[in-house]
Parts: sequence; structure tokens; C-alpha cells
Amino acid sequence: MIGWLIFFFSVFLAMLAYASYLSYRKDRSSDEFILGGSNIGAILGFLTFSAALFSAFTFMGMPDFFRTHGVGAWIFLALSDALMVFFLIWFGYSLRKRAALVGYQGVSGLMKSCYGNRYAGYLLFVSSFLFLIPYVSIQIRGISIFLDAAFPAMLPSWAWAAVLVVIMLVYSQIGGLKAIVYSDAIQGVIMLAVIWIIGVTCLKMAGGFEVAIAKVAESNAGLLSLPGPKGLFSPQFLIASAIAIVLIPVSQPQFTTRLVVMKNLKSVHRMAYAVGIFAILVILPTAFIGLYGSIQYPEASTAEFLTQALLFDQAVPVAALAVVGLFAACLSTTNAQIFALGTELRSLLTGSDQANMRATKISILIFSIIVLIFSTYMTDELVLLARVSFTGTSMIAPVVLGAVIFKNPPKGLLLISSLGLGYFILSLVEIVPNQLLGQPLDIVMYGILAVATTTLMLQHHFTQKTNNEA
Amino acid sequence: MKHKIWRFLVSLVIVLTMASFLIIFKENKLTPSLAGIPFIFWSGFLVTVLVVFATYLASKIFPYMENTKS
Repeated sequence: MIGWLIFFFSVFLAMLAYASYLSYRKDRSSDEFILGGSNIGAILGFLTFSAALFSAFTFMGMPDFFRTHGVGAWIFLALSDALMVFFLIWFGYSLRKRAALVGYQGVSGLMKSCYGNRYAGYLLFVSSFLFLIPYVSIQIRGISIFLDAAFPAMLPSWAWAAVLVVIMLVYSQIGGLKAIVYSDAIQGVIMLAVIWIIGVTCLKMAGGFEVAIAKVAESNAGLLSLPGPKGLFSPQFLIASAIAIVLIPVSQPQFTTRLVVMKNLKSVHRMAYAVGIFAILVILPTAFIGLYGSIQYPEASTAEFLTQALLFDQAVPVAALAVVGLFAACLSTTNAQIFALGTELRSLLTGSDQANMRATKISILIFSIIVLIFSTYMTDELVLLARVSFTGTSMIAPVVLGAVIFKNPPKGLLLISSLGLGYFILSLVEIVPNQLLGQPLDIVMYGILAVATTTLMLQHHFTQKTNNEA
Repeated sequence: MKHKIWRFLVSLVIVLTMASFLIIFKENKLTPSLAGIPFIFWSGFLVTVLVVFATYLASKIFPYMENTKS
């Protein structure tokens, strides 16, 4: 096993080193470092978007989600992702149109320019910081507990987390966004190959799809329908999850920036349906692994199930490749998010190009250290924590949507999003209840935000029309 | 024509989504199964494929052009 691990890691690290070398330019500006020259094509774009989207949360969380909560997990993630890529067709166009008019250095900077108000930029940055830090920490936590369980005598879990962060820092600091895009492409391909090899192996070990379904029907039939044996997949949960996931490209800057730095609108549109196909391909084998887990390891803990299904039940080279695949999946999401935080900070700075570049690099280092510390305090509920992050960032969606729809967006949207974000944070720290009107808070808040945002936008639209006519 | 098809696709995806969440994805529904696959899994898969296919069509007929001069 160790021999195979060293082999696959060496190949993987050599590819990352080559990606950094290809991306490095001594005399580059901060725009080239942060925005990768803004000429990413459809194939690279789809791989970097997919790799940033599908992470340790998909690779490890989804098999466990299928095992514990059943087939409704498909609707929770795959259908929501499909709706998100459909939304990208319009949102990619509108965002790029606004970015071309106002200029783009990051979403926070774009909001500051569109609203003519520094607070709009700060609101975006604070929301990203508050919810991306825990999300990145989840990824690191996921991979480190997995590696710790798989190789208990080798390194403590914090050391695995540190190795991952150091590798990420080295190549992102050398090559900037371009290196991240290249490495995402490598990681995306590895992840897809590995998850299918493991998925098919698990399905075979379970006796094939039909036999596996029959076994699950006997042992825990609740896994084969909604809301699942623990009642998680209620209509409210699934609808709120779909809204949060559809809004990911609006409210999570690592995705928003990827839409802007692509070569042209055609590339964005090709990327959109390619990500949809990738979502189906990457989530389907996680269902097979989960199905196998529900038969073979129904009572095991998350870490036990994952180490057994992904490592010890696999042939040695596949297990070694799985470790590298998981590492790659985690790395791609982590670097996308930490780099995005650096980008957002830089878009709010007003100094010289050189000073901004230095500040961005230092901020990326600081964000990495914060994430590393935070990851030691996270729980193992990877998917549910990721969902909290999606919901939290989606509270600022009205601000971003207002900015891409209107030339002079209504400032009332800043108030709506601030109240939504503030209330959601208060519910997380249990100062206010996480239910309203007997319903989960997120679905009620989406309802209120949707009504308030639509009313404000319609009022603004007709006021502007009247003013123009006058 | 492109505008009409685009609007039709948007309406189709909205109706399909609402029908899926409010009518198709019913709790405790196991049948009709398809080749042994439980109802929620195959219907969820089918709706996902339809939405991705709608995305492909939308990418081909999207009626608005990017201003390349700016």
C-alpha cells in the first residue's frame, strides 16, 4: 500500500508542480495573478468549476448521506446542481455584462462599484469570510479524519491537515488562479476516475444493483423512499437545499469569479451543461458506495464506513488511488475558497498594484492558518455543515442579483440581505429560534427574502421607468 | 424565435421543478419501480437528466449576445 501511495502521490505532486511552472510569470500584474488572464476556455472552465464544487463533501459526505438517509440524497444534491447549471445560463450572461461595464476584481469590489457604497463590498466580504472559513475547514477536517483513521500510526490528523494546506499554499502562491485552474483540471479528472472505480467495485461486492436494492428493502426499507429513515428529506428541507445550491454561483465568490474570468459567454454556457453532466457522473457512484455501506456497514461510524468502503475493501492500487483522489478533491475546493477570500479582500483595496499583490498573498496565508485552526474544532457532519455554509452565503444573494439586474440597484437590498444574514447568524448561535411559524428557519427566510426582494425590485423598476419617461 | 424558445425552456424548468417537489416526490412512495429501482431514485434521476438537457438546449438558443467590444 505504502509503495503505491508514494507512486501515485509522486505523480500527482509532479503534475501540480508542472501546473505551477506553466502558470508562473515573473513580471505578472495582480490582475494576472488573481484573475488568471481572464481567458479560461470551456473545458478548463468546466473542470475548475466542477472541482471547486465537488469536494470532500461529495466524495466522503455523499456516500455517507446515501447510507444514512437513503436515495433522497440524489434529489438533495444532483437535482439541485442541475437546477443550478440551468440558472447559470442567464446568471453567467448578466454577471459578465455588468462586470464588463463596471470592471471586475472580485465580487465585493463589483458590489462596491455597482451600489456606489463601501458597505456593499464589506457585506459581501464578511458573508464570504464567515461561511467559507467553516466550509473550507469541513473539507480539511474530512480528509484529515479519513487519513488518520486509515493510517493511525503515520501522522496525527492535524498534521495531515497541515500537509494539505502547505501544498495548496505553495502552488497557489507560485502560479495564482491559473495554477489553481490547471490543478483543478487534474484533480477533477482524478476524482471522477477514482469515484467510478470505487463505486463499481462496491456495487459488484453488493451483488449488483437489483440485489443491493432488494437487500436494503429487507433491512431498512426507509432508505428507498422519502423522507428517509431519519425523516431528514422533508419537502421543506429539499426545497430549501435546492434554493441554497442554485444560489451558490451568486453568493460564493470562488464560483462567481470563475464565471467572469472565462474567455466568452459561449464558454460559460458550454461549461454550464458540462458541469451538469459531471454532477450526474460524480454523484451516481456515491449512491452505489452508500448502498453498499447500508448493507455492509449499517451501524458503523462515518470514519469506519469510509475507511472500510474506500480503502480496505478495495484492491491495494485502487485504495492508494482513492487516498490521492480524496486528497485532490479536498485540495481543489480548499484552494478555490481560500484564494477567493484573498481575491475578495484585494477587490476592496485601493493601494498600488504591487502593494495589493503583497497584501493578497499575505491574506491567503492568514486565511489558511485560520482554516487550519478551525478544522480541528469541526464535527464530522460534513454534508449538513456544508449546507449551513450554502444557506449562510445565500442570504446576500439579493444584493448580487440586484447588482447584475439594475444599472443603479436599489440600496434597500443591502438592508434586506443584512437583516437576513444577521438573523441567520443569530439562529446559528442559538440566540433566536431556528424555526419560524413551525417551519425550518431557512425555508421561511427564503420566502420572506423572495417576497421582499421581488417587491423592492419591481418598485425600483417602475420608479426608474417613470423617472426616465419624465 | 430564440426568445420564444428561451422563455418556453425557462417555463418548462420552473413547472417541472414545482411539479417534482410538490407532486412527484411524495413521502413513503416506493412504486412504481423501474427495473428494480425505487420510484424516488429513478424519477429524481430522470428529472435531473431533463433539467441538464434543458440547460444544453438553453446554451444553444440563448437569445442574448455578449458585447465583445466592451
